[in-house]
Amino acid sequence: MDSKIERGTDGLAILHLTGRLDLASASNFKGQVTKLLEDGVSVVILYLAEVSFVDSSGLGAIVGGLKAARQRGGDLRLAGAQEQMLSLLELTTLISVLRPYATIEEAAAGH
Amino acid sequence: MKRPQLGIKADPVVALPPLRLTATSEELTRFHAYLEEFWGKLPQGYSSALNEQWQMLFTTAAAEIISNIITHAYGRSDCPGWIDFHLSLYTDCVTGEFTDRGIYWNGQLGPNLPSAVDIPQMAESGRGMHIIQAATDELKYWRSNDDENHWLVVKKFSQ
Repeated sequence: MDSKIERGTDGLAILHLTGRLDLASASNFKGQVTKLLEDGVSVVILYLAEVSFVDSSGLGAIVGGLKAARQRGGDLRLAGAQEQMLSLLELTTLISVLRPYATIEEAAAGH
Repeated sequence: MKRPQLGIKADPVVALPPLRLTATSEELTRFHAYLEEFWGKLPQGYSSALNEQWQMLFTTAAAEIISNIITHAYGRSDCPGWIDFHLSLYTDCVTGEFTDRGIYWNGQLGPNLPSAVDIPQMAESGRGMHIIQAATDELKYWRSNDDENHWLVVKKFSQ
């Protein structure tokens, strides 16, 4: 999995992910989210349009990131998730807490 | 324990030679490539029943089994073991069979999502078996007399 960080204003950061978010990459991803939060980012947007596959390890890491962000009073939001990721959110019922936004702009606005 | 009966009487329409993986997460790339090769070999007439959504769900379930073996069967081992993965296309379903020599699986087979709780208490793991069950039609596990673990997943064609 490759990633690129784009820092926005008002404590917002966009983490552009490419490839698979799975057992092989989940730990590294979680470390990146933790580092962003420690650096003062309050809202992390995961841009997932280039993520081809997510498994339960990747999903667990996203849940971990969401928990960490909320504990600091912030948030973690999903944008551009592809069909496989959306199916996974549905199958696990996590879609009720990890609402997927179509675009980065919608995720940033939170609606 | 013997291999359970599946009720599939016909020979497979397509069966690739088994893929042997080293039980490490880095091998997931080879696993995905093997599945892509398999989907590319589907005979004409199967593409509507096994559309992209169908293939995606099967791939998701199969990847969870591989990850489960790496994490649980070999997770406490000093050196990685192996996993054999065998895919077969039948006239009404696709089966994936996984064999390893790791430790015995003593977790639940049934769909069991972590309890719905507030976000601070939300579990970060424990969803894999539920995903496998939700994405496929049948999941079997048995430990053979030669100390091998066997997982068999079956997904029937879309109606």
